[in-house]
Amino acid sequence: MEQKFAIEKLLSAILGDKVSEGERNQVMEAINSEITEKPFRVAVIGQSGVGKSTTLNSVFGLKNYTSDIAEGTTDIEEKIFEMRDGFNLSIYDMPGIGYDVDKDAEYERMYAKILPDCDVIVYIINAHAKDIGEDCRILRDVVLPVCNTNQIKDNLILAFNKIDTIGESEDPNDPELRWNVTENLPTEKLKKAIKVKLSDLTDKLIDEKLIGSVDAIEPHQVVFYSAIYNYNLSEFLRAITKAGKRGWIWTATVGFEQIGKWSDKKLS
Amino acid sequence: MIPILNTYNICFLGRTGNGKSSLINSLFGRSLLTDPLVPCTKILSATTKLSDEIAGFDAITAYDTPGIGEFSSIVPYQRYYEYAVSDSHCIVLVTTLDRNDASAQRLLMALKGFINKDYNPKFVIALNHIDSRTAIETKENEVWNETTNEPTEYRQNQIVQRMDMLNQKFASKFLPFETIPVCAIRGYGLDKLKNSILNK
Repeated sequence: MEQKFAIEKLLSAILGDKVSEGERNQVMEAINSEITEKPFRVAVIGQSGVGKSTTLNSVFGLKNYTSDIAEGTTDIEEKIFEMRDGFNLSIYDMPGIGYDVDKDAEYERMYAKILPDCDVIVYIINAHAKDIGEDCRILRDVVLPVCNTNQIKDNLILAFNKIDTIGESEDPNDPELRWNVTENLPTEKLKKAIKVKLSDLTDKLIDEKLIGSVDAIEPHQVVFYSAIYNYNLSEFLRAITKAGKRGWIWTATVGFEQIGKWSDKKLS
Repeated sequence: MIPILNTYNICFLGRTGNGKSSLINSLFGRSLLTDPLVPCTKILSATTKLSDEIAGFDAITAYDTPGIGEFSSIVPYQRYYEYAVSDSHCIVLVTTLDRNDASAQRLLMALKGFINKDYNPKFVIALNHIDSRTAIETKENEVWNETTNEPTEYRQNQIVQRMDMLNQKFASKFLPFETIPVCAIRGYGLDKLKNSILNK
């Protein structure tokens, strides 16, 4: 029998010949109906310029995805992508938050409406931005309350993008602080700068009570990556797998296929 | 008798990283620390310089405030902001071509009640870093004319658009204002900004 999704291979390996073919098909049918019953729904939130579209390109494999949501509008568009064999991905692409106070108030109302239906909520932060206090405010005052009220806090992923550009803000003229494009790795010096920055960011999240307290998120819900260099995406995939009740579906179906070949490079 | 300086006070506000400190350095010639990687103005600092530039005042004081957006609420710095705004004859919001203005709008709205009505303060928006490249720029779209040291026509159009946007977003949020495009590190627009800040 042809195997459609990664999960079938895994299931065969686990069950082996311990069960009859009929029983195995029964289990597979149940899993398949869970997978194809409704689309895998993802919401991508963040300030403008944090890399929402490039993340959809690299992590969710939507090549050439560009948002047609105009800045400052309040349009929300649900886009359904047919992945294959009845498995669909649905993306809520939303305007960047933090553009205007009056618009933000409208977005906050939209989040309350939309987020409860999402399997994964990705909040993207620019890792080299100095003013992540604004993101912390949005998370703590807007996103987390919606998640807690609807008991979907596990669905949230806090994604720090652009870790490749951390060195540029330190010294734009130092080649040692630029991404090593040939190896697709940070240089040793950049790696050190990244580690310092990541530890600062983690401290910040603790100070702001976004991790390490009740009503906060778990450390495994925080990922650091570079969407344009497909770097550290395996950690992102792991976070999706662990997200909420249906996060596993992404990995069990097409998750691995969607991530580029360079993605095995990890932050070590 | 101890002589009392009659100072003209200017409060600089802005998102962290927008170049408040370096702008003050360029305008009033002092050396505040600037650090590109981490927010560095953690306290309120005031620089006073004797000056006869403004009639009726002996000196100019510049308040350099901590950057907006470093913390998720203004609470850690609230009293600095309130004090500086309430003691200022001119309030300068330093912004850039980056269009994420919500945090600055929010701060100004929170500070509106602290404006000193006796001073009838002026409000100026300094549009700084106008030579910066953003993701939408390509090599063909040069933003700066090095020969004349001014923005190219392409960038000039973006500046006009940004100024229109500021007019919409900040109207009625704080005080009436004028916007001055400036590039502190290239020494562009500084005289115009200084005149706008000082000329009542």
